[in-house]
Amino acid sequence: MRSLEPLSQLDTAGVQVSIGPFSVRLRSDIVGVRTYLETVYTDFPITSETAAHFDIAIVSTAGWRQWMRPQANLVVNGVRPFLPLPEDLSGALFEWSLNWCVGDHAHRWVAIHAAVVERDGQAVVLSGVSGAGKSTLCAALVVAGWRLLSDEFALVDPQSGLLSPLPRPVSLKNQSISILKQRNPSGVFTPERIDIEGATFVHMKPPLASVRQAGEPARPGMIVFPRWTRDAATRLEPIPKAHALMRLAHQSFNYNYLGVRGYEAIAGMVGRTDCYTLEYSDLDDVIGRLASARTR
Amino acid sequence: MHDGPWRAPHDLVWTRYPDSEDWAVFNPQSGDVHLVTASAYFLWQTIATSHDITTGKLLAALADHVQMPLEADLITAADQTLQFMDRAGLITPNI
Repeated sequence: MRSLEPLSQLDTAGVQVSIGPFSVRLRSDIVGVRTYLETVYTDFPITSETAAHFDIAIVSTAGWRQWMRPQANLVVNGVRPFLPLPEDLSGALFEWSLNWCVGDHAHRWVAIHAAVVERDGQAVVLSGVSGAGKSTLCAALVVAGWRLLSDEFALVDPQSGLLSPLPRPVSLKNQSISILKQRNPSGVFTPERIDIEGATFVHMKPPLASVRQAGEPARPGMIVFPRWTRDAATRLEPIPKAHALMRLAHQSFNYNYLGVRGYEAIAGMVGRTDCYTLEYSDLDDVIGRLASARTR
Repeated sequence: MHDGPWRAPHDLVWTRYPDSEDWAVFNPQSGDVHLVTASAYFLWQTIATSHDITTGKLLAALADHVQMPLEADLITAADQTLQFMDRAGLITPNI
């Protein structure tokens, strides 16, 4: 494990955390943020350098709020994008702020709401709305040995068509938590918290190998639109590419911002990959099916 | 239904893959992507390559293309397609 000595500056000058292609300057006077980093960011490069793409501060509210129902305030590049949250969500607030930064500002890539994993040089993009089961499937694939690129963003480089990794802690909610803890008994998980929508959530520490390969883009091989359905038999069925393109465009944060360049990046990726819908309930079965479909 | 003539923006980006007849089209003006049928693409292409084509001639060309008689069902379907394409900015009345 690397030294986390720079974290001693977290509440003063702040620290620089390297996360995929981004350098993030983080400052916080909240113990929960430091604990969060010490739990799930121990494998990430953390230094005392000051240059950063995103400047994030998660700070406590002054005055009586320090003692009664303390709050965490988010400041990104000098702007407060959200209202304060309960302080016990301060670690997760770091992840949510990163989502906001990437989705709103990282226009060098086409950013699609999707999980991405990779094995043997071929990436699988798992795209779907929240609650479709993509993070659960992503986490199970990662525990089964696939490389984690991201559980939140497919970052498509418009020039190369490759996917840039953004490995971060994997967000798990409700029943997925116990499922993944069973599958990954030696895994590191943050304590359970309740988010503002009432869902129980944790973050699972990403594998060291995925963090170390954060500079290695991956070639998209499959695009899958998963949907978890209780007791459903696994159904992995091809979907017309034009339909896949529509669905990916609707899950993209910025393709329209990038104009024709963004559209053509998605259209090109779809053209070069096999596209499927997936209905599943049995994780072991679907992991096997994805592995064999990928090598066909 | 608008009787025409129609015109078609030329900056649309059309994509079709070999696995289906459907087309995806990106409209840079709206920033939207739409999924349309091969018939809709034919209508757009006919409008784009014809000068001031009327709706009547357009429907006749479509009937000829799909080899169907120009009857109520086809006219209704074509009308709905033209209305959709008009709303999506894929074609526009040339008034």
